[in-house]
Amino acid sequence: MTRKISNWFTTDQAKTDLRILLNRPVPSSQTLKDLESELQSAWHDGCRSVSDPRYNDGRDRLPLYAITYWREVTKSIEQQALWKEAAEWVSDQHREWATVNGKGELVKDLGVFETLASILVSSKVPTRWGAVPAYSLAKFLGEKWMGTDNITFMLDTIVGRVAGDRRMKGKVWVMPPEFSQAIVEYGSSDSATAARGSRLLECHEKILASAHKVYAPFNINDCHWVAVCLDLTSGKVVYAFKKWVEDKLGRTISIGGDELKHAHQNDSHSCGLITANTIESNIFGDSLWTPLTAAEGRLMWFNLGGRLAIPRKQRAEAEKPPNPKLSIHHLLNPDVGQATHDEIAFVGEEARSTESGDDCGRVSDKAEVAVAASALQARAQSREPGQAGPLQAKPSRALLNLAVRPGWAQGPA
Amino acid sequence: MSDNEHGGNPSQDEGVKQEDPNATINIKVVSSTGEEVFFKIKRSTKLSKLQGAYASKVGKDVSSIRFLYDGDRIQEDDTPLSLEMEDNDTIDVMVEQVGGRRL
Repeated sequence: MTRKISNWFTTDQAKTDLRILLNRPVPSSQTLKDLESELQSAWHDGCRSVSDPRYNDGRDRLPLYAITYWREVTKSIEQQALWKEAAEWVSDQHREWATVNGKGELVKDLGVFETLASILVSSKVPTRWGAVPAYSLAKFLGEKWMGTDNITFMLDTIVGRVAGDRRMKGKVWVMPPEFSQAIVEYGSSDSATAARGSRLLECHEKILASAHKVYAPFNINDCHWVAVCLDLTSGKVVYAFKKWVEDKLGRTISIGGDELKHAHQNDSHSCGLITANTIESNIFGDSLWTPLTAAEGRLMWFNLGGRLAIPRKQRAEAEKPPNPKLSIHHLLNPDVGQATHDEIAFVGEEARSTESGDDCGRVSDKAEVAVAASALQARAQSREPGQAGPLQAKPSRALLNLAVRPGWAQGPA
Repeated sequence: MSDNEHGGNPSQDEGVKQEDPNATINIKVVSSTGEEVFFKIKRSTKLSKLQGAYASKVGKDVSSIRFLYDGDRIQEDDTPLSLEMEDNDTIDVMVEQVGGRRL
């Protein structure tokens, strides 16, 4: 039934107990949108309450902020649906892999179910360009398109790896999607848009002046991500980068072609992951993304972000160190124990070098996760030629523990 | 406004105003097309409120836009006070982009 949106607003004082909303469905998205756009003019017309004509013949008089309540509830419902879909995808993958050699316990080993259950909807994943909402991580689990938040998180992890490599520090830069958007704006023919792009890029001029290579994700028509490399040593670049580099960095460059080594996408949803992989592959020599390992890659990214989104205290509680006494399992599997010990030492050093306060604690978490990610990648690369792609072979428990438990590598169960 | 409020050392008054969480501040929100929307808010008000108001004003979902101040994303709990914003400062709006398709 269609109701005029003006019927929702009244000049009466709000007097209905707001708790009645707890047992009432929220209005449709379209109605909510209309209510929000009408709210300002209704307020100027003297309206002081909302009447919800769907119930009680419209006799209820709810405060105007009931609209905000509905908006927030709608957001929660949408996020829950996204999360539910993601959880179902993980369960499906787990069932599908049950009989696949090397993958049977992968979902469990990565601790994906635990991570899914531990993340609060309102939690955030910290990145150096500002936190991104944890619910966006659900897009990794399934065939969802990657959004700005996902790309930002993946690139932040790559920046963590670059920062840990002395040879690259200050020479290789990986920039967030906002940088690419500003570059596109700078190249715009509209003067106001170009001026804003120029202003947004000002802060990057100094740091990039001495860069050798700059990687950034560019979005095409809001449907496709590509990795772009500005190679200042060879003087090659693609897209609008050229104009900004010549204007502001004072260097002459030419437009290159499709020269970055990259995987070939064969589906309609993986370009965001391939973009991050292209950058990783060109900087660190990581294996290229393959369709065979697409699902594992998504699980890994989700897990890395998920661990960062879980509050530090909660994580510490769940990750209490195991009993230091040697168990029978340790005695029977000395190699596993040794590998774990070595990798703990490496992560510990990384953490100590970055941790000096509360805020830095978050940074150390990221450093650990970045190290874990690179360790997993390194493990994947060191496989025998002809073997399946990265992570297809079952990673060691020690490495998996590192990936899922930053800060503490748990001993074998 | 009382006469007394006009007196005194202007720079000192300005300093007090900067620190006062209840003092208001004018903020300009600029989109990629250069459209400007002005807001006057308390220095202690969470900028997430401003973000919601802006989204509703331009008819977009707040989760589909990003707000940047000095190039960094504004977080939910940030306030003009916590970001040390000054009167007439600019917040830039970036739209959320998505992608997945093969070209």
